Amino acid sequence: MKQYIFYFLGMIIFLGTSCDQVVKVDLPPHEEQLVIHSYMNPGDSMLSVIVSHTRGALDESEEKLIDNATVELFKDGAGKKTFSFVQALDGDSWGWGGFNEFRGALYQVPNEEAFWDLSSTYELRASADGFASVSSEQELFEPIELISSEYNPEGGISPDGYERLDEILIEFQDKSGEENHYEFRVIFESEYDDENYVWIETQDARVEPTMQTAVSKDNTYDGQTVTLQLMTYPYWDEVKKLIVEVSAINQDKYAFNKSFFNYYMAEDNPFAEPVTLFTNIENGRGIFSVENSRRFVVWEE
Amino acid sequence: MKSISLKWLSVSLFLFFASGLLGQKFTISGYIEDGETGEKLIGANIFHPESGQGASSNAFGFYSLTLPAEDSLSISVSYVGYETKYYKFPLKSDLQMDFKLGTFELGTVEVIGKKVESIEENTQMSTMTIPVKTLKKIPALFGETDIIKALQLLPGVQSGGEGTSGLYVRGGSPDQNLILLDGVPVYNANHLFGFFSVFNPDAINSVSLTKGGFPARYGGRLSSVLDINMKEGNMNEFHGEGAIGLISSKLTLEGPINKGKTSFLVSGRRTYIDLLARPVIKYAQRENDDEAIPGYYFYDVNAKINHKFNDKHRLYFSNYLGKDKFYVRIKDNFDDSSYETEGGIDWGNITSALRWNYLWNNKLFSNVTATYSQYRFDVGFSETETSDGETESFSARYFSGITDVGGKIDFDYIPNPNHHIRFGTGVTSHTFDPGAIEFKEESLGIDSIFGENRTFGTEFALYVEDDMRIGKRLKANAGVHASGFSVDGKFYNSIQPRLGLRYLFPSKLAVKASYATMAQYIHLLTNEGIGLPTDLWVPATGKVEPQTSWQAAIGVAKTFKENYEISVEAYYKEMFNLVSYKEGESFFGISESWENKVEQGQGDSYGLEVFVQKKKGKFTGWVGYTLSWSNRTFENINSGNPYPFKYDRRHDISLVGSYEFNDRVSLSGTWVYGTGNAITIDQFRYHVYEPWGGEVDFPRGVEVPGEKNDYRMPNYHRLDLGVEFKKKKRLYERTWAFGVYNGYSRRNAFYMDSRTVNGEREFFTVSLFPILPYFSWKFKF
Repeated sequence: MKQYIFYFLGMIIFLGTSCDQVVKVDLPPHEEQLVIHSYMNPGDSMLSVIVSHTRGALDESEEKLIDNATVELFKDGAGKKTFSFVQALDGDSWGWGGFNEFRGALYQVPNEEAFWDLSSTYELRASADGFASVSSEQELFEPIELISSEYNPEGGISPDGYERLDEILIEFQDKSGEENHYEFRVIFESEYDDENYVWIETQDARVEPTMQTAVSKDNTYDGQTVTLQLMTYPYWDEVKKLIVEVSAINQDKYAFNKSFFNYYMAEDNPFAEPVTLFTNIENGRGIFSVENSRRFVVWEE
Repeated sequence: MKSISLKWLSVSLFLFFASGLLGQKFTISGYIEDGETGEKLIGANIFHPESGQGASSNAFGFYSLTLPAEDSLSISVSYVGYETKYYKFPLKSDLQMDFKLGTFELGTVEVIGKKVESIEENTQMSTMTIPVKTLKKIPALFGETDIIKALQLLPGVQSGGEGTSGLYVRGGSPDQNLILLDGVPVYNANHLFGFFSVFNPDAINSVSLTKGGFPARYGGRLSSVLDINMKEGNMNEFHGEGAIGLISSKLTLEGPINKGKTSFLVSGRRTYIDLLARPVIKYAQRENDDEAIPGYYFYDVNAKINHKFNDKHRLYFSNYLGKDKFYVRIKDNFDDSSYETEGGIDWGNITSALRWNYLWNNKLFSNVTATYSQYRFDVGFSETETSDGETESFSARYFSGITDVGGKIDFDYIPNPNHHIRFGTGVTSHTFDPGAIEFKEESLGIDSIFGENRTFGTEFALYVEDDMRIGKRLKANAGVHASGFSVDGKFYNSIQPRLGLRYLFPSKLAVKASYATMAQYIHLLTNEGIGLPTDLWVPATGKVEPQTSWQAAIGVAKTFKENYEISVEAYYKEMFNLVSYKEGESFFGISESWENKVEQGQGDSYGLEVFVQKKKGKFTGWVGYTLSWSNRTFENINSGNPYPFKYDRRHDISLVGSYEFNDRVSLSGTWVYGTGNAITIDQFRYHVYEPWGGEVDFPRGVEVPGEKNDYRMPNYHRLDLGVEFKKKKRLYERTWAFGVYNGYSRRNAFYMDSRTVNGEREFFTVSLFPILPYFSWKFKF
């Protein structure tokens, strides 16, 4: 429904023989910062960190490949894993009003499950010539234990009331006495693709849809057995298996997911207030997240 | 000896009674009216120059003035936009006199002079009154005269953006304006997304805007009171007026139902862009299988009846109904099936007021009002599919709104010229519908509503104020407004002291000062961009507290050469518990309560306003200048640092002029200049890599805004010109009005964005209106 308003505003602008005018803006000089993206899971075979950098808003120079960075992961300030540059990630991406080239550097190190425990603190540090060193600290949270799940094809109605969606109900026990955050993903395994991550909707006030995920925090169901509702758009390919991935995440990842989704929603609206993406990287940008994920098959052919 | 004593006794008794007679006072009371139409004049002044005593007519034109007995009493009666007159008559008993400005003839009363009223006489500061006649002359977008746009030309009042009707008064937001139409709050004063206001000037009698120094009788909003009174309808003769313009036409009829006793007024207007465009759209689509018809219109109707039972009782019943609708209808025809889709948005207000005046005696006047106000917004979508003779339909709509039902009683007690005491009480029941979705599908028998719960709130108010004279030079308006709000088992209350002072120096320079605290129990959730009808009215709740403020102002006022008024005011205002959407939140989405989408913070504003006005002569007009600052602070916005309000405008200038060459031709023009609106622009950017599928997918480019509202759009300026040619015909008077909006086609920025062109990054502004000519044909009989 939102589109009607913007179509109409567009019509007014058009009828008003609107015109645009380039404006010279003097921006303060920007000091480039390291950008870190790392989503670690104790179950991963490799731990990955993508290193890139920020640029000024009007800077159209080519993005630099940072392949000489020092990237390390510390456990409780001591036990250390050193990452190695593996490959450049480059191509065209969508953003800031058009396609543009990206050039990230992928660093990896083999993972061992024994490296991870619930009582430790994990600090990621990165440095590279010409940039200030960056760091971020995270803890690992206990994964959830699923009690039951239910899949109801066309069992839900989309929040805007336009169409029927497939409903998935997830029942689990929340741990009491602490603030817990969860992230949900719905994955279809099909005959043609191995895995497809789909958009999640919900009518459940305790669940907040984000970018191809949904998040929830337990402030309304602390310590309770809870059933949360997820909804997905019917997948077109022949589905063989429907999987829900539930991750115990921390406050930072929850805030990052929400701000990224808010950014996406406000992107094409010139009247929306700008959204600043959450970051937990000190002296830089991006996100470092330690997640404890479990996958559950909720339906199988 | 005995005879001498008797003589002395006789002389003493004579002197005693004579002195008693000399000290005797009598009261003149009644109504001040327009002599031609019988319309009551609100805020008209009656003044006794000898004693310096005076009084003003209230919202129903009633006045009361008690003066010493005199064989030949001289008084003046004046009103903005009318010529002031002096009258002379004996005052030897209480008199009930209705003054009719303009055509006054009252037997033994002699009209002895003319004078314009002076700004320095009033205690009230920060109040602007513009005669509707003046408003109608101001050139306007598409020729649609607009009361709110005219008010934007006053110092301390700003518009939101190009062509829009939002009012931003002394750094406040639009929800902080109490807009009253015949005493009833109007919640959305905009047509066409704010490009026009809902007030049809042909139906309006008076407009006054109070920006500060609020008298105790007003409450419920932080920043301003816009008090609009509808015409009552001509008591003496049947009259009409209307106009045919570029985008709309309007017609107003008024006259007596029972001459001198009962009158009516009906006024309506409608736009016709949709009707004009429809044949063109149909022709363009004549060879298509499908047909899509978009359209937009608005209309509004004002209607009022007033009846005078006798000198003591009067009854007024006034109504307003207005609606905007934007729609798209699509028909797809296939061999064996067809689809009909209709979607659109509509919104509108309904207000109604029943008012009963009762004159208890020549010093006590009361008015009882019953009010109803409703604002409703609807976004709807429906689809009907017909296939193989079977029909399936589906519809969904999102709606929100607010409904008020209220009652109040107000008293005016004027015991003597040194006191005008007002007191009263009122209660309003609010029903809030903060957003719900209705979903229907016939084939499956679904008909359900889900979303935010309806909320009920009850607001109470009680006030007393005294407009008093303390000695020859000092006047004061002191009072207190007490209010309370009950919602969801929670009760808020507030005691709000109000004070206004005026000291008149011998040089006739008036120094004024005021202080007022205010409380507001309802909030408007808006995106700070443009005023959309989707903006939600919500109550203070247990979680979201009421807004409060205090404001202090000081100023000087003086009249020069009887024709030029100058006032300079400085103000400081602090606002608390303001509401803002959290970053990225909006009204869409019902999975989360609106209370979780907002946060509360505070704001301050301060500035200086200069207003120079020429009210009389062939050339009339004013110059207004505002120097101001307005800031906001929210814990989770801009890292908790204070930032400029979006409509923080350092300099705001307006020049308004009208020149009457003769009775037939007049020229008018306005020029406005304002510092560009504050905006946030992106400072740097990077790519976000998402962890989809455990592999790196395409990253997304994001931009990081700098400090909030740290940058300014280009400054705004615009010249509008209009000319009117009047001609009296045998049966009616016609006026041709021509003009241009944005006379030198300035590309004023409506919004600003960034983009990449040929590999170069640039910021650009989008403007709405280049030079736009207009014309309209008006008639009056």
